[in-house]
Amino acid sequence: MKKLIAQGLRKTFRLNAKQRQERKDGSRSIVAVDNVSLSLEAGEIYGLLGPNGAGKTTTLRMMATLLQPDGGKILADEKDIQEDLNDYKRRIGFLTSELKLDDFFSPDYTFSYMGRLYGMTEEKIRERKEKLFRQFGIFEFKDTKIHDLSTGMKQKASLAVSLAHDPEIIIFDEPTNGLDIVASKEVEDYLQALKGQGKIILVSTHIFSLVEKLCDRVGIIIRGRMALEGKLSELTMEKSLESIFFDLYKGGEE
Amino acid sequence: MKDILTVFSKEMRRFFTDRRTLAALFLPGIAIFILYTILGHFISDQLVSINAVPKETEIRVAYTENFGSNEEPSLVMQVEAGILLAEESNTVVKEEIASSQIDEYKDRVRNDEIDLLIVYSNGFEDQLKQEGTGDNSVSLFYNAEDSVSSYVYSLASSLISVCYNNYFVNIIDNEYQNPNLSEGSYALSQMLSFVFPMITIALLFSTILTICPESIAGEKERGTIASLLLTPVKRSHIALGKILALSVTAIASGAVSFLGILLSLPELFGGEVDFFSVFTPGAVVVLFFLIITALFLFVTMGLFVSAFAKTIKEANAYLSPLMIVFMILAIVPAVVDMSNIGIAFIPILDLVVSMNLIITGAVSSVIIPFVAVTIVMNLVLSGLFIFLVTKIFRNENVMFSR
Repeated sequence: MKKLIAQGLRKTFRLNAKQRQERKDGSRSIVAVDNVSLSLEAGEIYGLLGPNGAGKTTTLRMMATLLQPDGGKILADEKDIQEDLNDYKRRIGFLTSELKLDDFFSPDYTFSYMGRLYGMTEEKIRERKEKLFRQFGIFEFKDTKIHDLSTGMKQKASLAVSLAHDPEIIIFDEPTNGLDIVASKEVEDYLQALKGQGKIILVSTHIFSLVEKLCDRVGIIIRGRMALEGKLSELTMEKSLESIFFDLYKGGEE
Repeated sequence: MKDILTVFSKEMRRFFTDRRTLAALFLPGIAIFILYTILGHFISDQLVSINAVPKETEIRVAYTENFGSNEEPSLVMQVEAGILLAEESNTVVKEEIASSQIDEYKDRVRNDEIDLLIVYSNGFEDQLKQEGTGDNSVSLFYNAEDSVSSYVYSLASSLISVCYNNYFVNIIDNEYQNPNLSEGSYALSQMLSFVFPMITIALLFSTILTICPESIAGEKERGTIASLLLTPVKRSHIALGKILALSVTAIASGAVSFLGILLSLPELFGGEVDFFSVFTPGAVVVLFFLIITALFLFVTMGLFVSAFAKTIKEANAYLSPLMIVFMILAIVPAVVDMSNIGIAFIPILDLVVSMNLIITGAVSSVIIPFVAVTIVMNLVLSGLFIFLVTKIFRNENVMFSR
């Protein structure tokens, strides 16, 4: 796949009684994402930057097909993904700290299980498992139940499982969240390696340094709207990413 | 189909490798067998001790002189005859006492010196001969803590009506005969028809409470459902894989419970009743098939209800009130007209009435159509819930609700 484009994505959530009470403005729904467009290319890492509650995760969830947009569309190589959603699903790998592995099983079983669900052959599963388990150092705890693993081990296992089917599009929500510095570095290096393999990579984060280190393109999302989008090198010619972000954030408040 | 089997095998692995889940699924059936066996032995031991005929014992019976006739009262004679007929080695010591001694003899009964005290109202026998005018009461006093006293009291109580209502027909040639000439098991089946559906529904529902909340709400709570929904597998296939696994697990658990109940009830009823007169092989097969289809309905319904919950705890909170409704429905057959085939269209109530009809054999003309309609209803409703569960899997508001 060469290009993944999101055009005018919009997502509204109904508020429950408690949320309505908290908001006190009488509204029954909230617009989480409003008219957000992104353009991702193969061999590039796209960083979606924004404060908590800005709509980053909702955008990623729509891109990963977990949520259906109320408006807009997603085009994979200029073809609407809704035309063959299952084909698109086979091409994406989505990892978020909210997506967890079942505590009752081992990384080895979980990898095989997910591989089967992605329609992989047993031989292909073995091959990918060998490669990814070696890459992330999972072999030594591959038969230990997820429940008994440390946070870092769980994160590594999740990473390996989400990449089991060798996806062309990789969507990571806060990829280094909860990881120690060693594990964070490993993930960053691996993202660079995937970029080198020509994958389309979308990461969401609120860590400026991570975006500056990894990303080729960046989108700043504030209160559900895309405030700025472009090549990182062009955007940061005069100001740092942090300054740009806070200018936009304060501007939005005014 | 391959995807359904993949989800199925994972769910089965989940249930059958977790010791806590296994215990929750299979222990109730085993526990009920053990519990009822112990309870049955305890009850029968108690009954044996109450009904035990003493041997080589001197049994002391006191009676008041004021029964109005010079002859020995007929009740005293019958009690003596009854004691000796039951066990020749016993001896009976009778003592006639004055009315003024009643309180003293009550104390002697308390102190185990007298086994039975019979107190007649003044002129009892004379008044009885004059067709019961005036006060003609007879009172028995015994000591419940003493097994011999209890035995004689039980004998005397049963003989009062024999002696004083001229029902001597039961005493022929000095031989007792059971006044109940029925050879059937009416009383047993009546009792079972009440107990069996209640226990069965309680056990089946406990299975549902163990597995259904875990399957969808549990995955939501643990954050694993999204990984599953990200895959290219059709959501209806994920739902069907789960339903299949839950049904097989519930059936395995239900079979153990069914066996536990079936094997334990004879123990509960003392082990001496002819259980096969109620649970004929045919009745067992029909009951088993009925329960399997009911389990299927319970599973699909439980899965549907628990899918709306975000956590296992919340799913249990949704399902528990249903259990109360089901338990209430389990006692309703006592007040409904079971010959009304229309009841077979009311879910759960039809199941309870079907079990009741099979066990009691009552209204035999409607048993087959009633049970058949119940089974079809169970399957149709299960189909409806399967459809609803697969719809729910496509509903992001439900699947990702927070």
